[in-house]
Amino acid sequence: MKKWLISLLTVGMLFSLTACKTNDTKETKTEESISSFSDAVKKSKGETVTFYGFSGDEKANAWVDEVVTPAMKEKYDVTVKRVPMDIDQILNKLTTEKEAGTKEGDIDVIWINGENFYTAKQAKLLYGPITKKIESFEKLMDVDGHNSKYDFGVKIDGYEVPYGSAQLVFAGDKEKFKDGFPTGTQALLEYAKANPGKITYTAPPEFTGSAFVRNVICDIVGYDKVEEAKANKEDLYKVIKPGLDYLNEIKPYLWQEGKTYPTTTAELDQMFSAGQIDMSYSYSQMHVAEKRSDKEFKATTESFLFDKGTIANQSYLAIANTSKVKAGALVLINEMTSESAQLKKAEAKYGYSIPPFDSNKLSDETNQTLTDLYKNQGVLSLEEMQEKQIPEVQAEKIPIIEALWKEHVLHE
Amino acid sequence: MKLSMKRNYFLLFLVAAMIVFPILLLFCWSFSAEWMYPAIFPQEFSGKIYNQMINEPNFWPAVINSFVIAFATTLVSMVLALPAARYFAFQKKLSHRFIEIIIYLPLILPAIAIITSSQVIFLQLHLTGTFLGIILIHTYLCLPYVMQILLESYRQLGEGFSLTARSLGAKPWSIFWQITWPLLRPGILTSATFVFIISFSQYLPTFFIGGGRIVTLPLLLLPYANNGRFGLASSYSLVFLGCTLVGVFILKIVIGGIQSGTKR
Amino acid sequence: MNKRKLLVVPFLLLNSVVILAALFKGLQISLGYYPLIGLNKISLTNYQQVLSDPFFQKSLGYSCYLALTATFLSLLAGVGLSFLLIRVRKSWLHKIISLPISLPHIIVALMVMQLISQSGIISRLFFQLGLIKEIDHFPLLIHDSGGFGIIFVFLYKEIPYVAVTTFAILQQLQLGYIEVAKNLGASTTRIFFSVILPMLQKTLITLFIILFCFTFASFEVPYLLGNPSNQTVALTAYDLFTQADLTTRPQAFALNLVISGICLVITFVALTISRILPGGRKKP
Repeated sequence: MKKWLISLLTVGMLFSLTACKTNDTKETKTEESISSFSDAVKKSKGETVTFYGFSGDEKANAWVDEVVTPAMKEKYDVTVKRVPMDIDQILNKLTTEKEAGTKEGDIDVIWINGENFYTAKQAKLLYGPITKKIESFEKLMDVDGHNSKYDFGVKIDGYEVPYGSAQLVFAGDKEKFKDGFPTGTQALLEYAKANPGKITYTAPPEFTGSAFVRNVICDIVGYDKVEEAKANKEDLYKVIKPGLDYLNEIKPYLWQEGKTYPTTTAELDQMFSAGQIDMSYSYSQMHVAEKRSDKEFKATTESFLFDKGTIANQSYLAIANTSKVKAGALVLINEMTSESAQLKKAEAKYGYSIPPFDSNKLSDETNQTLTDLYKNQGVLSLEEMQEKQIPEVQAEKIPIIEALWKEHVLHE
Repeated sequence: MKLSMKRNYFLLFLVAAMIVFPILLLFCWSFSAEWMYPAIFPQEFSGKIYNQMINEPNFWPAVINSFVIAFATTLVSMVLALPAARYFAFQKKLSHRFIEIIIYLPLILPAIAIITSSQVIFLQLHLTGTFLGIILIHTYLCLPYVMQILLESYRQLGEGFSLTARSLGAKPWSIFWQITWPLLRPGILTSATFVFIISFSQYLPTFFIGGGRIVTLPLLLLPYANNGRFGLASSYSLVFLGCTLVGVFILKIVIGGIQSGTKR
Repeated sequence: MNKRKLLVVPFLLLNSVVILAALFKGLQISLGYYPLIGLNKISLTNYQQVLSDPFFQKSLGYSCYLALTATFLSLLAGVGLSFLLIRVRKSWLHKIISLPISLPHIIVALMVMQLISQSGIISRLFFQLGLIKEIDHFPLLIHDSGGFGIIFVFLYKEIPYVAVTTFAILQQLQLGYIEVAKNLGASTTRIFFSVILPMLQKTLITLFIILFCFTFASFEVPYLLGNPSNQTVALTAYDLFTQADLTTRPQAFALNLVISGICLVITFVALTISRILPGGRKKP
């Protein structure tokens, strides 16, 4: 009996030892280097390209399935396969593949941004630079703009292409805020004092809640100070302390006196729509328009911003280093950021998404179409949103700020 | 006697009603186009959500994949567990506690830890992104449930029957088919049902080991659920429930239908 | 004898490969050896960091509280339910009772949210019936510090599971013993404690182990329905694991191993208790 057990265990251990072996990571050279976009078009005929990204938004999914996939087949004879996967799982897959020494993987195009781009770039998981090989980048986007060069404060160096934009936007019922929306932290505090229990936010590390906290901090302390601060707990704490103090000050007037918080924006929206709280928020600028047309928000709901600005970021498309069909991936990214596809994405049916284009590079017609689409939907004009923008805090500082919030506000 | 029978019936009915009620909620959400507080019923009904769900290109492939994987996992689990359970039930050398720990280890160790670590080894064995890989990891997670039931079943069965048959000259294979199988059938059916259900509802393993290449129903469902799309999540959940009912029904027919050795 | 042992090989092989690989990898990384991001030293710092975190003890206590409460209540109610199942043999009722087993935990969490949240259906009913005048008057049943919503989800899933498993065992038991005891004049309670319970005891302990470890290591349900200031250890581990910053991975693995350790300890304790209780030792 014992002999059997021992031999079995040895076999098991031998197998598992292979897991310990970590292969040397060699630089993966591109087998066939692709010189330009037209070159990519030629090389990609007949290929199948996968697109990995967050799939919890059925409108965005529908856009990929109903607009992009047929267009790719028609124009370039490339088949597109949309794979639902969260960005942390995508990164995890790429990282594990790299650890195991895999040279070719399944992931081609990735929908990515922020801290995740930072990790991917550091770990050399991306193929690039790619921006020069994508037509729509030069033609339609602001090549020198902040968002084309930096992602959450990290240098892009051409490894990803802007795909969509996001901005923290608040939602409120016009009827409730007869004296106007609270467009700053002071006004918000006063409103909360006058209407206790009617304001709350989702607790970090929930993505949007974390943005709300950072926004409040920047509103009080100023973005520049936060940007300059060193990325460690003590220094950052000294800089953002006034912001944390504010959150503690408003705490007793929040829902449930700030002793507990909702944990998803879906819940926040539901509480808002039921009238339990008076304010909701979202990273999607057109959220109010969407929810109004889905009949989840009342028709009198409108968006508002902070006067000093709200956090805005871009999301991007990148290509995995282990992609087997890099040519096809380039073509897909180009199509997804093309004018025709993006204009469709801006429609209500596909989510009212704002294209990542430079309005100066667009024709007057296109600009007018876009403005018309968004009118009277309870959302703000593109100019106003662009005016009142503040950039994202550097990716590395975000988990530190979340931890500080937990320590000093949540557990106060 | 009659009164207590009625009371028991009523109690059970109450429990069943409490279980069904939240599921009815799912029905309402999946058909509602507008349902604001404080309305008890949706203010507007529509089949739009079901339309969306069916038009999703991954929908039918996901359903088929889920079924295939679940049935295959059931088969593999039974093939692995039946001999192992028989061995553990009747061997005399190892203590019962030791055996139980070996069996329940997959349930004791946190699934997320095991799955993320096995990802690397599956990669090196070229099992990621394959049906086989997914079936293997599902089997690993389902085996404890099967073993628990089959172990007890074998113990209750006792060795008497097979020993007698052996001494009468029967071959081991026919002993299994004609004696063990019919007597063990309820246990086999229950454990097969469990495996099917558990495998069908697995998310993390399919996700990590499948690597996105193989899409199953939970993979489509969870992002919508996490993102607050109650309508879509509800419709997917109902499809889910329906599929598991179908799967269990099929199992009942297949396993219950193999009548070797019994006279009805 | 050798041929017999062959039967067990595939089973043991699968289990041991998966578990040992996971343990090795977990130990390797948590002790500091993670070449992908350049860590090469073996040390216990990750464990120290994780265990000395001020919130660790609090989360540990909370996780234990949730797991113990959910498991005990499920066992009690589940066994009670299984007796009902034995007495009432309508199969359609049996089928309904086993429905929750097929539902994934996330779905149940969603259903529970729609059921008992302040904007849920019960609150709406109360409002319509005039029992509450404002939405905030409905008691807070999710995101509360007691974890009511979380426990509710586990109860919904686990009571049917306990009931169905116990029912299967009860069916196979030699119920003749009960008749004998009745004939000898024993009261129902006596029968239950001296005859039925010892026969069930092993199954119940096993169920306890399975349910406790599962609840202890679950993170999605506490995330969705819990109070953010009361995190469970499993949630902390998941957070550490999914941080974009890979340097937290070793800590995540360390925490995972700590959680596994705790589950193993609980298992041993439970099995020892089972041995001591009547019915624990195999009849000679």
